[in-house]
Amino acid sequence: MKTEALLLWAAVALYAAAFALDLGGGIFRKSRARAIAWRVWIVGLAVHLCAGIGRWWIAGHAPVQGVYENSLSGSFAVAAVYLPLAWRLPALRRALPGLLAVVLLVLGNGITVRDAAVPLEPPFRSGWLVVHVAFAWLAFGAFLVSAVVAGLQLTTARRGGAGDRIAVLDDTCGRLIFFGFACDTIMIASGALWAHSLWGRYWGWDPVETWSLVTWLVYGANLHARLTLGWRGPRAAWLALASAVTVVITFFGIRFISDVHTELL
Amino acid sequence: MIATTRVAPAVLGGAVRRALLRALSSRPAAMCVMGAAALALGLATFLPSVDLAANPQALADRPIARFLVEHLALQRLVEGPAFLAAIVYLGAAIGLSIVHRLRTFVRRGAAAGPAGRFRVERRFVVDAPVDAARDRIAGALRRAGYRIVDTAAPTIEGSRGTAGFFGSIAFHASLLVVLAGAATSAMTRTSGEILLAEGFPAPLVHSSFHSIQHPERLPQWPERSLTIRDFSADYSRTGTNVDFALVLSLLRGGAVERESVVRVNHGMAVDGLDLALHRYGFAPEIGAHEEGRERLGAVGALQLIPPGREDALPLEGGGELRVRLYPDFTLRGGTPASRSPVPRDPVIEFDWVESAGDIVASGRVRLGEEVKVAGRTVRFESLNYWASFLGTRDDGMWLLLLGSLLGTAGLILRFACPDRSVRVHLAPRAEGTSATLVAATRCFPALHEESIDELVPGLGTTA
Repeated sequence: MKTEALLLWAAVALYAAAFALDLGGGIFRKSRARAIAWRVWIVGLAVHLCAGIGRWWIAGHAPVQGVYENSLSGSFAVAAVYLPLAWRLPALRRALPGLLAVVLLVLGNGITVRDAAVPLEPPFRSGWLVVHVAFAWLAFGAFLVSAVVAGLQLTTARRGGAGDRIAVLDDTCGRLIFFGFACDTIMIASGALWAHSLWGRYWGWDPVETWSLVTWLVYGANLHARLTLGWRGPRAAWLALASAVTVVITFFGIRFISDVHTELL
Repeated sequence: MIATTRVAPAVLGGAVRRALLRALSSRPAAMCVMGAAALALGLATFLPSVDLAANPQALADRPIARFLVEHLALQRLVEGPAFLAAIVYLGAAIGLSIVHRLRTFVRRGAAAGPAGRFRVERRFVVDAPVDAARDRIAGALRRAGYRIVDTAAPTIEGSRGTAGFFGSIAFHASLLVVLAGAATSAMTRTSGEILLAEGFPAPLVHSSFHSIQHPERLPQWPERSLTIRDFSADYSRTGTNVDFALVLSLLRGGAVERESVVRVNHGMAVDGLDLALHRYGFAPEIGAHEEGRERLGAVGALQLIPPGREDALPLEGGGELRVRLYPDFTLRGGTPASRSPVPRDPVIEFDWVESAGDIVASGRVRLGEEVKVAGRTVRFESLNYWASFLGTRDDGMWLLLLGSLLGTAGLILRFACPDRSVRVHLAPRAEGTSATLVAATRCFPALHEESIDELVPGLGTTA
């Protein structure tokens, strides 16, 4: 338990340091500071992964039960979705402070309510758990990173950045939304099938289910705006940013209204 | 992808109706309906959950809140005509869109040159005569995944992403399948809860179920009954239940027809009825006598978890026996407690309450023993478990499963195979061939342009 906590706090410290270095490097135009920030956050991600594995080891199951474990997994999913993209498209590295702010907020939400590691309760002992939760976090990561990329796109455009770079950011945002939408669909479908075997009904209109559907509809509309109406540029970016509100409500806000989704478990 | 304007207007005559239909079946209209549905659902979850039927005076001093709860509460909203109309509208729009897109696809052919919204043009020179240049470019395009169609020289046409197109069709068709599944479910679904105590078979008849929805849809099971045995529960070190399982047997005329180990998430199906293990508890067998008269002799399926929780059994002639169970009895500072949730040394603490509400006798009795207090005898005969099962029959589930699989496969295809088309026009020149490549896509043009820029240097020298 102690090692896992140490690892987690080390990851938080590394993320915070990378955030400060990258932001400072951007403000004072020090490219070396930004290069160091990039390396520091990757080390932070590796330490975050170790903290997750540590939790898995202690709890005896994937870290998917309770607020703390879900924050640990969710923040990792955001970072894990961003890393390969930024690796391939260096233009995305400018979004690192925004990404780290999101990761630290999600992680901070879990650290404040740190739960003890407990074995899985009977309802969670299902093959659907991994499918449902893994795709939920992938969708969460993809949607939040798409919002961060949309923010970078708008900032770059405001500063008069190169058109081709903005266009690549625009496309990347669209592809992230597409990927997130596919993951969200699988998450909802697997959740419905699991709910049928567990509760004898596939859909119950509880607040979490309802907001998952709201998110799915909002991002479906996003995709239609891009793919069929040809929305691009600032209009599409603002829509992606606004849509991220539904993701935050679904994953974090709704538990302030009701815990019925997990209470039923 | 949703909605089309070409098919629906032909059905109805009249310019106004045509214009109205065109507006309704346009893509922005479908998107607006999606957005409105999302907004209404989202807002409805924030409304307070007040049962106005049970409490008619609730929110009387807040008329706006009362109006919103009355008309826009989530359950009321999703069962209301406006929401159902929105679903029907979106379903119709999706259906029309699929028909329109398939018709366009058949008319255009699979590779009819650039038709996408976003175009990119590149010019280059190939150091070979037209025929050789044509073969070289067609080969390179094929290697890049384009399907080349035979056209007369000097033009090459190709496209890729046909699988993506059908993926999109499959995804939208899956939404219709899911809607059909939901409709079938609404028409056929039935559910109820059946409670079984170890060693006491319950006939599989409608009256054995409680909290039953649509009993007329439940099938009949002549001469069948259910029983459970060998219940086991596992607990963590902190006493939290982590697993429970039992053997569920289906009996016909008293003989075992089929039996299965059942646990949460792993139920058993009986003639179309899915039985899912839901919850469990202790079922103690208790006898109570007063001056030679039996006041109680029953197995009670009681809510006695966690240890010390009180439940009651009715006494014959009025009154009740309130009981608390300590599965692994101990005394902590003189107070009864349980070392663990496992019934290693079960003890029942009881209060004998007469109809007037007076406690006339209290005491403790160990499993297999009896105790006499104030002329009243209580015997703790045996301790078993009870388990509750949710029985569900839903003929729409297979459609929902099919829709889920189809939708997932469709989205994966659509994501992995974006539709792209290319047309290369060749013209002879003094040394070699001049080529003009026009590539088009419906989405992600910058990434598409990158892929074209990676492709062109392999075809010739940029002009």
